[in-house]
Amino acid sequence: MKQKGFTLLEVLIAGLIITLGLVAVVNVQVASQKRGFETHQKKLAGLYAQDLQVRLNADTCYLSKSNDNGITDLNDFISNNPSDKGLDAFIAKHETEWRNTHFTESRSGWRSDLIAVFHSQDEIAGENELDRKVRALDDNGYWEFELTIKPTSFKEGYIQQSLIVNYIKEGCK
Amino acid sequence: MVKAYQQGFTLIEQLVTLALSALLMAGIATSVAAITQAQNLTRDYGNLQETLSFVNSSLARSVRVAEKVKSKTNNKLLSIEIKNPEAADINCLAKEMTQGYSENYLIINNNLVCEVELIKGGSLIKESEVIAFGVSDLSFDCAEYLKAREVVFEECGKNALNNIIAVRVNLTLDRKYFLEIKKDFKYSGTFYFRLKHNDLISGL
Repeated sequence: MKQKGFTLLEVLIAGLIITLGLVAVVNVQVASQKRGFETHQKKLAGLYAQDLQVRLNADTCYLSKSNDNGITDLNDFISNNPSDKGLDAFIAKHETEWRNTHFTESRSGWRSDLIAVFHSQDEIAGENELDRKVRALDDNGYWEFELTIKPTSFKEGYIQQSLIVNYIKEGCK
Repeated sequence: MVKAYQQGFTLIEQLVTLALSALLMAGIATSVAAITQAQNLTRDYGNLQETLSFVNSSLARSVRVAEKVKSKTNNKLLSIEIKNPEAADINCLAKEMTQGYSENYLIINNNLVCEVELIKGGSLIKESEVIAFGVSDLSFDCAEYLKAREVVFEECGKNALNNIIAVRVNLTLDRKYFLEIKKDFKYSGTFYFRLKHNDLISGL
Protein backbone atom coordinates (compact mmCIF):
# COMPACT_ATOMS: atom_id res chain seq x y z
CA MET A 1 0.00 0.00 0.00
CA LYS A 2 1.41 3.28 -1.02
CA GLN A 3 0.54 6.36 1.01
CA LYS A 4 0.58 9.83 -0.34
CA GLY A 5 0.28 12.88 1.93
CA PHE A 6 -1.66 16.08 1.26
CA THR A 7 0.08 18.74 -0.72
CA LEU A 8 0.86 22.04 0.97
CA LEU A 9 -1.74 23.79 -1.18
CA GLU A 10 -4.49 21.40 -0.05
CA VAL A 11 -3.58 21.91 3.58
CA LEU A 12 -3.55 25.68 3.17
CA ILE A 13 -6.97 25.69 1.49
CA ALA A 14 -8.41 23.47 4.22
CA GLY A 15 -6.96 25.80 6.85
CA LEU A 16 -8.46 28.80 5.11
CA ILE A 17 -11.92 27.22 5.03
CA ILE A 18 -11.76 26.31 8.72
CA THR A 19 -10.61 29.82 9.60
CA LEU A 20 -13.42 31.40 7.57
CA GLY A 21 -15.94 29.25 9.41
CA LEU A 22 -14.56 30.26 12.78
CA VAL A 23 -14.53 33.94 11.83
CA ALA A 24 -18.19 33.65 10.83
CA VAL A 25 -19.10 32.09 14.18
CA VAL A 26 -17.29 34.87 16.04
CA ASN A 27 -18.99 37.51 13.86
CA VAL A 28 -22.41 36.11 14.69
CA GLN A 29 -21.53 36.34 18.37
CA VAL A 30 -20.29 39.90 18.05
CA ALA A 31 -23.47 40.92 16.21
CA SER A 32 -25.64 39.24 18.81
CA GLN A 33 -23.80 40.93 21.65
CA LYS A 34 -24.19 44.28 19.94
CA ARG A 35 -27.92 43.68 19.60
CA GLY A 36 -28.08 42.61 23.22
CA PHE A 37 -26.40 45.82 24.30
CA GLU A 38 -28.73 47.88 22.11
CA THR A 39 -31.75 46.15 23.62
CA HIS A 40 -30.35 46.78 27.08
CA GLN A 41 -29.97 50.49 26.36
CA LYS A 42 -33.44 50.62 24.82
CA LYS A 43 -34.96 49.04 27.90
CA LEU A 44 -33.13 51.48 30.19
CA ALA A 45 -34.29 54.37 28.01
CA GLY A 46 -37.87 53.18 28.50
CA LEU A 47 -37.46 53.14 32.28
CA TYR A 48 -35.88 56.59 32.19
CA ALA A 49 -38.72 57.94 30.04
CA GLN A 50 -41.22 56.56 32.55
CA ASP A 51 -39.32 58.29 35.35
CA LEU A 52 -39.41 61.62 33.52
CA GLN A 53 -43.15 61.26 32.93
CA VAL A 54 -43.71 60.87 36.68
CA ARG A 55 -41.41 63.79 37.44
CA LEU A 56 -43.45 66.01 35.13
CA ASN A 57 -46.73 64.62 36.43
CA ALA A 58 -45.73 65.53 40.00
CA ASP A 59 -45.90 69.14 38.80
CA THR A 60 -49.46 68.80 37.48
CA CYS A 61 -50.64 71.66 39.67
CA TYR A 62 -47.81 73.91 38.55
CA LEU A 63 -48.71 73.14 34.94
CA SER A 64 -52.41 73.82 35.60
CA LYS A 65 -51.96 77.48 36.29
CA SER A 66 -55.35 78.77 35.31
CA ASN A 67 -56.60 79.02 38.89
CA ASP A 68 -54.40 81.90 39.94
CA ASN A 69 -55.01 84.87 37.69
CA GLY A 70 -57.27 83.44 35.07
CA ILE A 71 -56.15 82.30 31.67
CA THR A 72 -53.58 85.10 31.17
CA ASP A 73 -51.25 83.36 33.57
CA LEU A 74 -51.07 80.30 31.32
CA ASN A 75 -50.52 82.51 28.26
CA ASP A 76 -47.53 84.12 29.96
CA PHE A 77 -46.23 80.69 30.89
CA ILE A 78 -46.46 79.24 27.40
CA SER A 79 -45.08 82.34 25.67
CA ASN A 80 -42.19 82.50 28.17
CA ASN A 81 -43.20 86.02 29.12
CA PRO A 82 -40.54 87.47 31.45
CA SER A 83 -43.08 87.93 34.26
CA ASP A 84 -43.18 84.16 34.55
CA LYS A 85 -40.28 81.72 34.62
CA GLY A 86 -41.94 80.15 31.64
CA LEU A 87 -42.40 76.81 29.95
CA ASP A 88 -38.90 76.71 28.46
CA ALA A 89 -37.33 77.18 31.88
CA PHE A 90 -39.62 74.49 33.31
CA ILE A 91 -38.66 72.01 30.60
CA ALA A 92 -34.96 72.84 30.85
CA LYS A 93 -34.99 72.39 34.63
CA HIS A 94 -36.68 69.00 34.44
CA GLU A 95 -34.57 67.73 31.59
CA THR A 96 -31.33 68.77 33.29
CA GLU A 97 -32.27 67.20 36.62
CA TRP A 98 -33.36 64.02 34.90
CA ARG A 99 -30.24 63.82 32.73
CA ASN A 100 -27.99 64.37 35.74
CA THR A 101 -29.65 61.47 37.52
CA HIS A 102 -29.56 58.92 34.73
CA PHE A 103 -26.97 59.83 32.12
CA THR A 104 -23.95 59.02 34.26
CA GLU A 105 -20.92 56.76 33.83
CA SER A 106 -21.27 54.66 30.67
CA ARG A 107 -24.43 56.56 29.77
CA SER A 108 -22.85 60.02 29.90
CA GLY A 109 -22.73 60.13 26.09
CA TRP A 110 -26.49 59.73 25.71
CA ARG A 111 -28.35 62.60 24.15
CA SER A 112 -31.91 63.70 24.72
CA ASP A 113 -34.41 66.34 23.78
CA LEU A 114 -37.66 67.33 25.46
CA ILE A 115 -40.27 69.58 23.87
CA ALA A 116 -43.91 70.42 24.53
CA VAL A 117 -46.28 69.75 21.63
CA PHE A 118 -49.80 71.04 21.17
CA HIS A 119 -52.23 69.07 19.07
CA SER A 120 -55.50 70.92 18.71
CA GLN A 121 -58.53 69.05 17.48
CA ASP A 122 -59.39 71.43 14.68
CA GLU A 123 -58.10 74.61 13.12
CA ILE A 124 -59.88 77.92 13.62
CA ALA A 125 -59.16 80.48 10.92
CA GLY A 126 -57.36 83.59 12.11
CA GLU A 127 -56.53 82.17 15.53
CA ASN A 128 -53.06 83.10 16.74
CA GLU A 129 -50.59 80.43 17.74
CA LEU A 130 -50.72 81.10 21.45
CA ASP A 131 -54.52 80.92 21.60
CA ARG A 132 -54.39 77.70 19.63
CA LYS A 133 -51.97 76.16 22.13
CA VAL A 134 -54.09 77.17 25.12
CA ARG A 135 -57.20 75.86 23.40
CA ALA A 136 -55.43 72.56 22.68
CA LEU A 137 -54.72 72.19 26.40
CA ASP A 138 -58.30 73.01 27.38
CA ASP A 139 -59.76 70.66 24.77
CA ASN A 140 -57.42 67.73 25.40
CA GLY A 141 -57.13 67.99 29.16
CA TYR A 142 -53.47 67.01 29.07
CA TRP A 143 -50.03 68.34 28.30
CA GLU A 144 -48.06 66.42 25.75
CA PHE A 145 -44.28 66.35 25.86
CA GLU A 146 -42.17 64.64 23.30
CA LEU A 147 -39.02 63.00 24.58
CA THR A 148 -36.26 61.86 22.26
CA ILE A 149 -33.41 59.73 23.58
CA LYS A 150 -30.36 58.70 21.61
CA PRO A 151 -28.26 56.11 23.46
CA THR A 152 -24.61 55.71 22.48
CA SER A 153 -25.14 52.27 20.91
CA PHE A 154 -27.58 53.72 18.36
CA LYS A 155 -25.56 54.65 15.33
CA GLU A 156 -28.71 55.83 13.62
CA GLY A 157 -32.26 56.21 14.83
CA TYR A 158 -33.44 57.16 18.29
CA ILE A 159 -36.15 56.40 20.80
CA GLN A 160 -39.12 58.70 20.86
CA GLN A 161 -41.73 58.72 23.56
CA SER A 162 -44.76 60.91 24.16
CA LEU A 163 -45.19 61.84 27.80
CA ILE A 164 -48.73 62.73 28.80
CA VAL A 165 -49.21 64.91 31.86
CA ASN A 166 -52.50 65.76 33.49
CA TYR A 167 -53.85 69.25 32.88
CA ILE A 168 -56.62 70.49 35.14
CA LYS A 169 -58.55 73.19 33.44
CA GLU A 170 -60.04 74.59 36.63
CA GLY A 171 -56.68 74.44 38.36
CA CYS A 172 -55.84 72.68 41.62
CA LYS A 173 -57.84 73.39 44.73
CA MET B 1 1.04 -11.05 -0.35
CA VAL B 2 2.35 -7.67 -1.24
CA LYS B 3 4.42 -6.09 1.43
CA ALA B 4 3.03 -2.75 2.42
CA TYR B 5 5.36 0.08 1.74
CA GLN B 6 4.99 2.52 4.57
CA GLN B 7 6.70 5.75 5.07
CA GLY B 8 6.26 7.79 8.30
CA PHE B 9 6.15 11.55 8.72
CA THR B 10 9.44 13.25 9.13
CA LEU B 11 10.21 15.12 12.32
CA ILE B 12 9.88 18.45 10.52
CA GLU B 13 6.44 17.54 9.19
CA GLN B 14 5.32 16.52 12.66
CA LEU B 15 6.58 19.75 14.20
CA VAL B 16 4.95 21.91 11.55
CA THR B 17 1.62 20.10 12.03
CA LEU B 18 1.91 20.50 15.78
CA ALA B 19 2.65 24.21 15.46
CA LEU B 20 -0.23 24.81 13.05
CA SER B 21 -2.77 22.89 15.12
CA ALA B 22 -1.60 24.66 18.28
CA LEU B 23 -2.21 27.98 16.56
CA LEU B 24 -5.68 26.87 15.48
CA MET B 25 -6.50 25.59 18.98
CA ALA B 26 -5.36 28.85 20.53
CA GLY B 27 -7.66 30.73 18.18
CA ILE B 28 -10.62 28.50 18.99
CA ALA B 29 -9.98 28.71 22.73
CA THR B 30 -9.81 32.50 22.63
CA SER B 31 -13.04 32.80 20.69
CA VAL B 32 -14.84 30.33 22.96
CA ALA B 33 -13.72 32.35 25.98
CA ALA B 34 -14.86 35.59 24.35
CA ILE B 35 -18.22 34.07 23.40
CA THR B 36 -18.76 32.79 26.93
CA GLN B 37 -17.96 36.19 28.37
CA ALA B 38 -20.31 37.88 25.91
CA GLN B 39 -23.08 35.50 26.86
CA ASN B 40 -22.51 36.13 30.56
CA LEU B 41 -22.69 39.85 29.94
CA THR B 42 -25.95 39.46 28.02
CA ARG B 43 -27.36 37.37 30.85
CA ASP B 44 -26.29 39.99 33.40
CA TYR B 45 -27.98 42.72 31.39
CA GLY B 46 -31.10 40.58 31.37
CA ASN B 47 -30.96 40.12 35.14
CA LEU B 48 -30.38 43.81 35.67
CA GLN B 49 -33.34 44.76 33.48
CA GLU B 50 -35.55 42.19 35.12
CA THR B 51 -34.64 43.47 38.58
CA LEU B 52 -35.26 47.07 37.62
CA SER B 53 -38.59 46.47 35.90
CA PHE B 54 -39.89 44.25 38.65
CA VAL B 55 -38.97 46.66 41.44
CA ASN B 56 -40.27 49.53 39.33
CA SER B 57 -43.67 48.01 38.67
CA SER B 58 -44.02 46.72 42.23
CA LEU B 59 -43.40 50.15 43.70
CA ALA B 60 -45.46 51.99 41.09
CA ARG B 61 -48.49 49.81 41.77
CA SER B 62 -48.30 50.21 45.54
CA VAL B 63 -47.55 53.91 45.52
CA ARG B 64 -50.37 54.66 43.08
CA VAL B 65 -53.06 53.59 45.54
CA ALA B 66 -51.20 54.55 48.72
CA GLU B 67 -52.62 56.81 51.37
CA LYS B 68 -49.46 57.73 53.18
CA VAL B 69 -45.74 57.20 53.04
CA LYS B 70 -43.20 57.11 55.84
CA SER B 71 -39.46 56.93 55.75
CA LYS B 72 -37.88 55.17 58.72
CA THR B 73 -34.53 54.03 60.11
CA ASN B 74 -32.46 56.87 58.69
CA ASN B 75 -34.19 56.95 55.33
CA LYS B 76 -33.34 53.28 54.70
CA LEU B 77 -36.88 51.92 54.96
CA LEU B 78 -39.89 53.08 53.03
CA SER B 79 -43.28 52.35 54.49
CA ILE B 80 -46.27 52.67 52.19
CA GLU B 81 -49.68 52.69 53.80
CA ILE B 82 -52.69 51.44 51.89
CA LYS B 83 -55.86 52.06 53.86
CA ASN B 84 -58.74 50.90 51.75
CA PRO B 85 -57.64 48.40 49.14
CA GLU B 86 -60.06 47.92 46.29
CA ALA B 87 -61.46 44.49 45.52
CA ALA B 88 -58.58 43.28 43.35
CA ASP B 89 -55.60 44.87 45.13
CA ILE B 90 -52.66 42.57 45.33
CA ASN B 91 -49.75 43.30 47.66
CA CYS B 92 -46.03 42.94 46.98
CA LEU B 93 -46.16 39.30 48.14
CA ALA B 94 -48.78 38.59 45.48
CA LYS B 95 -51.63 38.15 47.97
CA GLU B 96 -55.03 39.67 47.49
CA MET B 97 -55.84 42.17 50.22
CA THR B 98 -59.24 43.00 51.61
CA GLN B 99 -58.19 45.18 54.54
CA GLY B 100 -55.78 48.05 55.10
CA TYR B 101 -52.08 47.17 55.26
CA SER B 102 -48.65 48.67 54.88
CA GLU B 103 -45.72 47.61 52.78
CA ASN B 104 -42.17 48.20 53.98
CA TYR B 105 -39.33 48.19 51.50
CA LEU B 106 -35.91 47.67 53.02
CA ILE B 107 -32.53 46.04 52.47
CA ILE B 108 -31.57 42.86 54.31
CA ASN B 109 -28.24 41.20 53.43
CA ASN B 110 -28.00 42.88 50.03
CA ASN B 111 -31.51 41.86 49.08
CA LEU B 112 -34.49 44.12 48.62
CA VAL B 113 -37.18 42.82 50.92
CA CYS B 114 -40.85 43.67 50.99
CA GLU B 115 -42.54 43.29 54.34
CA VAL B 116 -46.33 43.38 54.67
CA GLU B 117 -47.80 44.48 57.97
CA LEU B 118 -51.43 44.21 58.89
CA ILE B 119 -53.53 44.05 62.01
CA LYS B 120 -55.59 40.91 62.35
CA GLY B 121 -57.59 40.06 65.44
CA GLY B 122 -55.90 42.81 67.43
CA SER B 123 -52.33 41.65 66.78
CA LEU B 124 -49.76 42.80 64.26
CA ILE B 125 -48.90 40.26 61.60
CA LYS B 126 -45.70 40.60 59.55
CA GLU B 127 -44.83 38.68 56.44
CA SER B 128 -41.81 39.30 54.28
CA GLU B 129 -40.15 38.08 51.14
CA VAL B 130 -37.13 38.97 49.07
CA ILE B 131 -38.25 40.71 45.88
CA ALA B 132 -34.85 41.49 44.34
CA PHE B 133 -31.34 40.14 44.85
CA GLY B 134 -28.17 42.17 44.84
CA VAL B 135 -29.52 45.53 45.92
CA SER B 136 -26.89 47.07 48.18
CA ASP B 137 -28.35 50.47 48.89
CA LEU B 138 -31.72 52.13 49.09
CA SER B 139 -32.71 55.72 49.83
CA PHE B 140 -35.73 57.92 49.23
CA ASP B 141 -36.56 61.46 48.24
CA CYS B 142 -40.03 62.85 48.77
CA ALA B 143 -41.86 65.71 47.10
CA GLU B 144 -44.54 67.63 48.91
CA TYR B 145 -47.67 68.90 47.21
CA LEU B 146 -47.50 72.65 46.68
CA LYS B 147 -50.39 74.45 45.12
CA ALA B 148 -49.37 76.09 41.83
CA ARG B 149 -45.69 75.81 42.69
CA GLU B 150 -43.05 73.48 41.40
CA VAL B 151 -42.47 70.48 43.65
CA VAL B 152 -39.06 69.93 45.22
CA PHE B 153 -37.60 66.53 45.99
CA GLU B 154 -35.83 66.35 49.33
CA GLU B 155 -34.59 63.51 51.44
CA CYS B 156 -37.69 61.96 53.03
CA GLY B 157 -38.10 63.01 56.62
CA LYS B 158 -36.94 66.57 56.04
CA ASN B 159 -40.40 67.52 54.83
CA ALA B 160 -43.75 67.00 56.47
CA LEU B 161 -44.96 63.61 55.31
CA ASN B 162 -48.68 64.28 55.16
CA ASN B 163 -48.87 65.81 51.73
CA ILE B 164 -46.30 63.78 49.86
CA ILE B 165 -47.40 63.33 46.26
CA ALA B 166 -44.34 61.70 44.75
CA VAL B 167 -41.48 59.61 46.03
CA ARG B 168 -38.19 58.90 44.36
CA VAL B 169 -36.49 55.60 45.12
CA ASN B 170 -32.72 55.40 44.64
CA LEU B 171 -31.30 51.91 44.26
CA THR B 172 -27.76 50.65 43.97
CA LEU B 173 -27.34 47.26 42.34
CA ASP B 174 -24.25 45.51 43.64
CA ARG B 175 -21.68 44.56 41.01
CA LYS B 176 -20.87 41.34 42.89
CA TYR B 177 -24.28 39.95 41.94
CA PHE B 178 -24.03 41.04 38.33
CA LEU B 179 -20.75 39.36 37.46
CA GLU B 180 -19.68 40.95 34.22
CA ILE B 181 -20.83 44.45 35.09
CA LYS B 182 -17.76 46.17 36.42
CA LYS B 183 -19.39 48.88 38.47
CA ASP B 184 -22.31 49.21 40.85
CA PHE B 185 -25.37 50.22 38.89
CA LYS B 186 -27.29 53.16 40.26
CA TYR B 187 -30.91 53.63 39.35
CA SER B 188 -33.55 56.00 40.51
CA GLY B 189 -37.24 55.86 39.76
CA THR B 190 -39.96 58.33 40.64
CA PHE B 191 -43.40 57.16 41.73
CA TYR B 192 -46.56 59.09 42.00
CA PHE B 193 -49.39 58.97 44.55
CA ARG B 194 -52.28 59.15 42.17
CA LEU B 195 -54.99 58.58 44.76
CA LYS B 196 -53.50 61.17 47.08
CA HIS B 197 -53.00 63.62 44.27
CA ASN B 198 -56.58 63.26 43.06
CA ASP B 199 -57.77 64.07 46.58
CA LEU B 200 -55.53 67.10 46.80
CA ILE B 201 -56.48 68.37 43.37
CA SER B 202 -60.18 68.13 43.99
CA GLY B 203 -59.71 69.55 47.48
CA LEU B 204 -61.23 66.71 49.49
